[in-house]
Amino acid sequence: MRFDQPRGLRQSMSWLHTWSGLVLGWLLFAIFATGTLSFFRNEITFWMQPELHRADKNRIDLDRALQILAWEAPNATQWSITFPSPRNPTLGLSWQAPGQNQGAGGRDQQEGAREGASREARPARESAGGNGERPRGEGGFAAREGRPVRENAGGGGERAGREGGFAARSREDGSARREGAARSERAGRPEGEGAAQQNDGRQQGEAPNAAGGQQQARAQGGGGGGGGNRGPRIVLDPATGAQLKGRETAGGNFLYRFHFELYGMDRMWGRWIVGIATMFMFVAIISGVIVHRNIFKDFFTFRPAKGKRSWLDAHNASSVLSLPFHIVITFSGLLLFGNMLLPTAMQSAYPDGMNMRARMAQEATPPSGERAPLVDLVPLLAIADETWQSRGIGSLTIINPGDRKSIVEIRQPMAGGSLVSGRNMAESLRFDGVTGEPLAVTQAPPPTTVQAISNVFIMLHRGFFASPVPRWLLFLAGIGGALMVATGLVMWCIARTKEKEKHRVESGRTPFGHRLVEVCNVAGIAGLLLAIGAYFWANRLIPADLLQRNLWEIRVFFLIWGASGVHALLRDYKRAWIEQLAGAGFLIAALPFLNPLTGGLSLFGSISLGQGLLIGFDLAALLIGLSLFYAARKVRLHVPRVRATQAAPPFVNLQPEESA
Amino acid sequence: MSLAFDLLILALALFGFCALSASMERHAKQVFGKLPPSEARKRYAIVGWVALVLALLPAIHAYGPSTGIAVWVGILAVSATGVALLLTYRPRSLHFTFSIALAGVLLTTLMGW
Amino acid sequence: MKINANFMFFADRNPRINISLRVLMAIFGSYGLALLGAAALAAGTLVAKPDAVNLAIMLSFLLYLLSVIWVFATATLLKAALGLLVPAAFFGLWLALATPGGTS
Repeated sequence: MRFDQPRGLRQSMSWLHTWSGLVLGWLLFAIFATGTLSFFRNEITFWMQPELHRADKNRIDLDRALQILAWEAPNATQWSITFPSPRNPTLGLSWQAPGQNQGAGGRDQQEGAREGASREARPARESAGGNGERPRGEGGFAAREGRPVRENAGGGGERAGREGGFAARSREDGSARREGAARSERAGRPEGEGAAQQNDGRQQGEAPNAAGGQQQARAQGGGGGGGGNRGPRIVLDPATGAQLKGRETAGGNFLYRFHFELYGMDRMWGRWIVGIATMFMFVAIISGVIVHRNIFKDFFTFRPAKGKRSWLDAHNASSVLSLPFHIVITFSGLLLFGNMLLPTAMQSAYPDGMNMRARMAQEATPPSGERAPLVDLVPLLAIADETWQSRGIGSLTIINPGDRKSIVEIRQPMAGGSLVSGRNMAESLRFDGVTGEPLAVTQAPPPTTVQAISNVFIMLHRGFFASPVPRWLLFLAGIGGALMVATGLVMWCIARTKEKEKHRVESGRTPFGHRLVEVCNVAGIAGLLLAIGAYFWANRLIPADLLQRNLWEIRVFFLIWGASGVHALLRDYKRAWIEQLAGAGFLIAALPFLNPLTGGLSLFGSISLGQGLLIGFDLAALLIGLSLFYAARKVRLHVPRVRATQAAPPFVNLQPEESA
Repeated sequence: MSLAFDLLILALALFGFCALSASMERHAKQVFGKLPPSEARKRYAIVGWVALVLALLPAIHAYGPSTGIAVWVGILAVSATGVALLLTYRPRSLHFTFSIALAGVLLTTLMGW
Repeated sequence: MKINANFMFFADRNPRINISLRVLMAIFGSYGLALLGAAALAAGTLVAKPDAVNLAIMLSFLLYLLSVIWVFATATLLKAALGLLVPAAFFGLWLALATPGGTS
């Protein structure tokens, strides 16, 4: 391909497609792979905390939750309870201590809402206990990326019966199913001064741990901004009210953060690199479409066992069959970084530097100072039930609990309505916290056309869906995308086998460029998968109480990835592929078996307890692992096709060779 | 309940892609053994496209307009992949798949009604 | 003039320089064009401000894509460069007219 000679559009685009795909292809594969996994990051995080696996979401002991909140944070300005859901069967409690800026909390929540996808499953109809309550779809206000905040419970401050310690986890929120008991809640300050002291002690304890938390937040790829998103501080088994302490884990959030921020570098650098790679991807996809000659005729075409032709078919199939998704994901990826990559738009529209992002107004409701008991929540939840029959309850927030001016806000699940309406359009109902009277809620204005388009793109990218069906479909499309990149990269080598062989015959070595691509292929594709498998293994094998074990999980990921690069350098191409694919296949396929051996639930256990998300993870891991094994086997059994012309005896050319 | 809708979308998509592949020369030869006349192929194509577009209806009904379109595209992708693999490895089974898909359409329509 | 024409000829003919220049133009030139386009579209459209920014960004990414394709698709380097410079001038003018005071 020479640009100084006349050429058609297809040839130029073919060159462009090859190079825009190749140069950052391995990074793009990593982004696709980790991004695809991120659709299920909450489930992944849950899987990585086996201590939580047995949480029973069939009943909710709301009283116990409120008791614990009253115990832990009697002076809090705001309590939050996030209900179990098909994406996370635990009950999460958090609060905002007095003195914390509520505005900041709002922003955190908004950040959280922006970053933490609350993707919910359709509530399954099951019979709840006794009350005729219907199970709910989940939701979440302030979706979290919790930093694990470890805190020692203070010296003499142990209370009888307390298990001590917080366990903040990243989680999604979910449906509530209430138990039959309806007791009026007491959310005042039951223990009087003692509790106040404990609380202060706790707040003090928070400061030094904030630093530790920050570190862990960075380890997890950083929380959003300074405050970051708060995970629930206490995680409960919903039915028993017992506190669950999941191990600190980098969780699915590491993969999520990695896929758009990378790791180990300044966040802006990471985002810029990913943004640039996305633009390369966009160019590669569109140039690929232009190059593809018979996009309709070849739609179903796949010709196996034909060498380069088969790889091309595989590349075409994985690209074209989910082409709409690839285009949407790539373009929306660009949009998500739009203001960073093209800052001139904001600069020219707002030359004064005004922040255009409207903050979700958190009504500053200062407490009155007078104590008053909290209203019985059960009837309020019933009202919410009635009003939102299909989508149900996501979370419950109590502002100024125990005060006369308290407000109970019940929110719908965060996402799951229309993609058009965007991120923060969850409905909420507000009630006076003492009398239970409903308060008026301002509805957000409907989105404009441009906003709607932008929202649809972004919501699709982030997988903001109420039902698991679209999320699984996105997952499959993401796998298709990863295959698209992988087949393209492999094909580059296969298409140049002849030149490579010629070079080897002449000089005994593979040409440098080829070797570089070969090594990067194995390390970037199989090596990454190997590292992901190792990441999950590390999660289980590293002791649960090791300090900052989430950092170690991440280190293992990078160590193994690096090792795979060295391995790819030392082994020849084919053997490297076989060994790394088989290794990755083993690590990943073994996960459902590793799970019960290291404290989690076995597959049978998950089935019997109805922990859908664990079943999904285990089965997906098994399938993916076995597919990798199968791939390794195919590579091992592969014999290069001998074409008829090559099989003929070489013709001895006695004439001097023409210069090429 | 929504499972019926999902299956209906899938059944319609499979049905549609079977028909569409039969309308293509290369694949019609694989499926039928010989090339059907072009009028027949045109009919297959129309039926196929109609089925694919029809699949949009249960998708939007079950998921709302924006998510519905996304689900529709996703299920189209999955079923197209399935049909492509069948055409590669078991082209004759397309007759069977076609009938199953048709039965599936009828069944799930009844279920969802 | 003559020197320019000779250079153009020379650069066009030499495959290495040709490709390198095109790559530079595609990566950086198109980016500059996209930045300029984003500024112009955001400042000078009729839609409300937040929408204008969103729309400008969306369209500018498409602009970037199209100009990359243009740079590699055209026959000569001159055409490639013009394909960047002419729209840039257009957007520059737009921006100058749309922004009061003429500064971006």
